[in-house]
Amino acid sequence: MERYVDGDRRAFERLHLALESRLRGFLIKLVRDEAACDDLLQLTLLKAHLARDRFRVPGGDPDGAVQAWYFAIARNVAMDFLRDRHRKDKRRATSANEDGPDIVGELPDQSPNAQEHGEKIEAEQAIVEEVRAAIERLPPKQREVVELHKLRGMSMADIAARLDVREGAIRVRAHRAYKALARLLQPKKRPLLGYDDASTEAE
Amino acid sequence: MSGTPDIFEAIGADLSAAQTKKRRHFIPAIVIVAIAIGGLLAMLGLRSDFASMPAWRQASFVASWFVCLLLFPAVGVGLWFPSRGQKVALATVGVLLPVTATLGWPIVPAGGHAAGPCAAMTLSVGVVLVGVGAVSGAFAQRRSRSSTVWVATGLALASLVSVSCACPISEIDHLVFGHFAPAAGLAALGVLLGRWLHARMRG
Repeated sequence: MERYVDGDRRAFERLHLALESRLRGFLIKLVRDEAACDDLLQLTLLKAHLARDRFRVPGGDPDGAVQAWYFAIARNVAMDFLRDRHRKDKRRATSANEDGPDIVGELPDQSPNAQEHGEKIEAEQAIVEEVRAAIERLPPKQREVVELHKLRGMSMADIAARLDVREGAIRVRAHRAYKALARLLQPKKRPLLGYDDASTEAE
Repeated sequence: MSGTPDIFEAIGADLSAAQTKKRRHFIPAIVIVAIAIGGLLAMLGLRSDFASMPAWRQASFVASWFVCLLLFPAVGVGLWFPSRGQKVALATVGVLLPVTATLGWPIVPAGGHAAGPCAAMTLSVGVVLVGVGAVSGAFAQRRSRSSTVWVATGLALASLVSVSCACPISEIDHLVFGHFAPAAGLAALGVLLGRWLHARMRG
């Protein structure tokens, strides 16, 4: 990926070769539309190409990071497509009922307006950042397991084989890691009357 | 690759266009460096024993120019992407060639010739070459900071070869203190400067 970012065409070709079938399978699973899948795959590759300078390796697993990055882009592309398709279906249903009573039109509009949409995206990004920061705070061995399990979607047995550690030990690590993550991501308890430690310390 | 030829070709073409642009950008820099070295050699003249040197040593000088001025910077700015093994081989050959060409065989024992003038010349030429590299942006072309090592080392070795082409003294103490040590110092300073520029330009 580093070479591709630096402009190596052959590195892009190799990366493309390695990821294409997996991305295609992932997109088909999400949108269940083989005809649209090609377009979505192209869009995914284009978006990744345009954003390639922003790619970073967060942990110690570059392969996993590349895959997770491409899959995140593919997921967003698929979600946009599904949202768009939903809107089109809704519009079609509305126009089909023009002569009769507009049942769909009478329903409350569920689609968010621009402001709500922006706020939703910001909130989602904040959650992603929070989770990412929490993962960064895990001990390296636990972080590695979480990254391989959640970001790369590997099974415990595969992780155990890859890290050359017993599967039981991997499960223990994963359990501890998720417990630690749950603790780290717990909403902070706000004290009553707006009094908190920080303000006390400041005083 | 079967399903996504359009975007695949478009991205490939985009990468090729970016490489062509980069190549065009760095040709003037290489020409300026060649003019600086040519000027130095025209001013000082080739060493008096150059014509009588064995063919292998003359070939080493010529190959050193090629490796230090073209191949090292090409790797550093991302115009050539050798594999790990090729990089190791290139680094080994790239350092051994100028050293062998400068030392010659058999190694001449210490003779007490002053090293100062040659050290000053190596540093002066090197500062000009590293300066051209810095102004042309060669240190910040790739994402990895290690790319600065290739550029700085190539330019420092080029200054070593330039002075060795002009200086006829082959005594080991003179070569160590007047040629090798300043070139090594220059490479180290070039790397530091390159890293600073890299951090400034790429964040």
